[in-house]
Amino acid sequence: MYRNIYPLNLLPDSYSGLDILNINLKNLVMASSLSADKKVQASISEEEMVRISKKISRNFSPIALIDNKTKTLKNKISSQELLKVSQNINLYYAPKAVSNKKSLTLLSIDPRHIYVYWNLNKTNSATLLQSMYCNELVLRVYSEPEQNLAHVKAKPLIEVPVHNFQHREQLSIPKADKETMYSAYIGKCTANNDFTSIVKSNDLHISKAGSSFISPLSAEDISNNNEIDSIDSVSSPASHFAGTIRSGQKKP
Amino acid sequence: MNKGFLSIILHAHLPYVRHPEYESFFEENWLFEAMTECYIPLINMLDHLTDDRINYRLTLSLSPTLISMLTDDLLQSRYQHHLNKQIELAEKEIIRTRKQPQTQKLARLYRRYFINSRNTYQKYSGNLLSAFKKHHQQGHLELITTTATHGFLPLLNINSTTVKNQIEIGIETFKSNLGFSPAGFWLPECGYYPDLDKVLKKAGIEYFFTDTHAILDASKQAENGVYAPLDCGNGVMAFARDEDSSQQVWSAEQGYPGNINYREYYCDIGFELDQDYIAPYILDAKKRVNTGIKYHKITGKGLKKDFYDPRQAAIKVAQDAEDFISNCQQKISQLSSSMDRAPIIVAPYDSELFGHWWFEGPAWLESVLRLADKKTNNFKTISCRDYLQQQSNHQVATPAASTWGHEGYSSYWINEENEWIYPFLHQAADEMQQLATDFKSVTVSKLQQRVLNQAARSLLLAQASDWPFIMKSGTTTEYAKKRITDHLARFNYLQQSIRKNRIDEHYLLALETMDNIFPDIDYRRYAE
Repeated sequence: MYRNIYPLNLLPDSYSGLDILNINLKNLVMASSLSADKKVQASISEEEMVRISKKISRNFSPIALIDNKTKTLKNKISSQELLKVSQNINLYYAPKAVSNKKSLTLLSIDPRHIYVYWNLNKTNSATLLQSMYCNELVLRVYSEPEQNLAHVKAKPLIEVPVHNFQHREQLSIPKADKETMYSAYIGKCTANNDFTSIVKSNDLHISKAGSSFISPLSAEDISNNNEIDSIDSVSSPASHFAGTIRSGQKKP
Repeated sequence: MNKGFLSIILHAHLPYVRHPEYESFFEENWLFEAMTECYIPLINMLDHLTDDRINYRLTLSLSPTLISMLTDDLLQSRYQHHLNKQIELAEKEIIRTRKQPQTQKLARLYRRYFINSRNTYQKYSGNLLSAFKKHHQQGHLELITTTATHGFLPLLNINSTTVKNQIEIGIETFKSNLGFSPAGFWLPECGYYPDLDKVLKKAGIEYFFTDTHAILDASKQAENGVYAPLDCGNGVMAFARDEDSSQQVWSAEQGYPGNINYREYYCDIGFELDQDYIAPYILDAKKRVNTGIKYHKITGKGLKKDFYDPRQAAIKVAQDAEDFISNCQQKISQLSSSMDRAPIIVAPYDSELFGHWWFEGPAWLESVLRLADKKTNNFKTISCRDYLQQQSNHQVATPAASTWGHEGYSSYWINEENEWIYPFLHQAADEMQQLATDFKSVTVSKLQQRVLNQAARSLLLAQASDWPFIMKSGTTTEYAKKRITDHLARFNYLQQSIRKNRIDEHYLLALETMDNIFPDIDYRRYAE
């Protein structure tokens, strides 16, 4: 029953002969159509055919002409030239640092972790440095979307000092039993607890931690830890088969 | 009597690996291997089922990058060369193993296998897409697609034009190659977050797939678990993966592919034979690579590898297919008595599993589809689109944010190995949007238009989920880093060229030649 569907049993030993037969058949078909063409050629001279061909080409296939031109141009670039262009561009334009545009971004890792990165432009660098030095510059994360916050006077879920103009970190968040929207601000916090925001983040949707989710950190770690984690604190995941075959790289 | 349905979905995707700047390139082999081992056997399987008038339904998701590569002249000609070299090597093996009858028998089989691949390839004039299209037109194969470059949307949705364009350009690429719009959509890595369905709705999508916990942890308790879709509230339906049928095939320990009689993937003559002998068939005659010729079976842990026996493997294929069908029957029987509608078992797999990692996978799948056609079964195979036409009034709820990756969320795509890419990707997306907006109301020359379109291509190629995935999996990490860096560098170069109005046409042409994907792209779609 399975003889016919098994890949290596698929074909009889003489299959290569069939392959040759296929080619011969193809040649026969070509020969047949050539002889039919010859009959047509007999009634039209070569010059006339060239003239008709040119006329049709000129009047009816402008797109094809453009395509051919492009094709010729493309063919003019050798693989060495392509490589050189690629290398030159990589050498001078590879991304080295993000722009000086002010930004604060939140990303979802899983129901217990979010990823935050920021870039504070250096136009007021002296003031910012002073604030950093005095521990006045803080990142506040709220479990509310931006539009629900009464101008950041709500109690933040997480508050951590900011010591760098640019930074990327992972944060632990408490277990939520419902879908939660998060937002964050970086701003200056004064002695009388006034907060002046410098940059706000996107709103971030985090799903509730379902029964199937097992955090790489223990529950105790999370409840005791509202400090910024090092990114290394995420345990290295074992390979997931559904993902590992992507790009044909790893077998289960 | 039919009481329920089984929907098998294969997701076929490879990143865009096309390197005209090199005479030969290792990563292009990913495509060639998948063509010989996965896509052509899949087409052969579809042809056999049609020839034998088997009534089946199967869903195939074709990624836009794969579609583009399968229709690319350069890759088609390079594949032809690759296949001819495989046939040549198999012939050389038949001579080398003349005093080893067991090995020679396998070498002969490989020769036939490769020649058969070439015949199928020629039968469809080198365009495998036409084969899938044919089976779609015959009514057995449901074709769907995914995002333009398999961008992982949960980590790209900082910029709304990114998500919109990844989805819409994906659909348009599919449509321009297949001639119709897909009803279903494969979210890369099953990455879903609430509101994503709204973007899908706008793009004309009727249904998509999620992992199991997206439905189990939905905003309302799913009345029928994962065995009926959820309506996201806007008519777009979410179908969830059935964990049991996934485990049977995916699991390295309990799954079918790990059986001792199946072919061992890792024993390949490209790594085993003398360097001088194998040199013409490995990369640049130096770097050892898989040749596709493997003589051993899995055998068992710690044991010396035995020779592969195709007959033993075929027997096991039959047993595993019967086991899968039997499990489906039991499940349908249990579910149908407790559900208010016909249950559907959704079984999605990466199509590259079948044939590449699991050599016997296509044969198993064919057996499953043949067995599923028996009238004595209590279920039928179906596509999700057909299911939706048969069943109505679905429960309304919002699926939970989720992926099918490790731990069920995004941690495989953002972690210590790859987190550095996201600030750059988000910045480039913002800059592309700004660029398109700035030039929206300005008359641009054809040359400027080409630069802007090429910038959009570079951005899309940088956004592929494959690069952070490979960085985490630790395989060809340098290549993944280089690809993302190259595409971002190309984007930066093009952006600066147009901003400073210093366009080098030769450089532009070179970039258009190298990254020739999405020929009809229009940068204006990135404007606010």
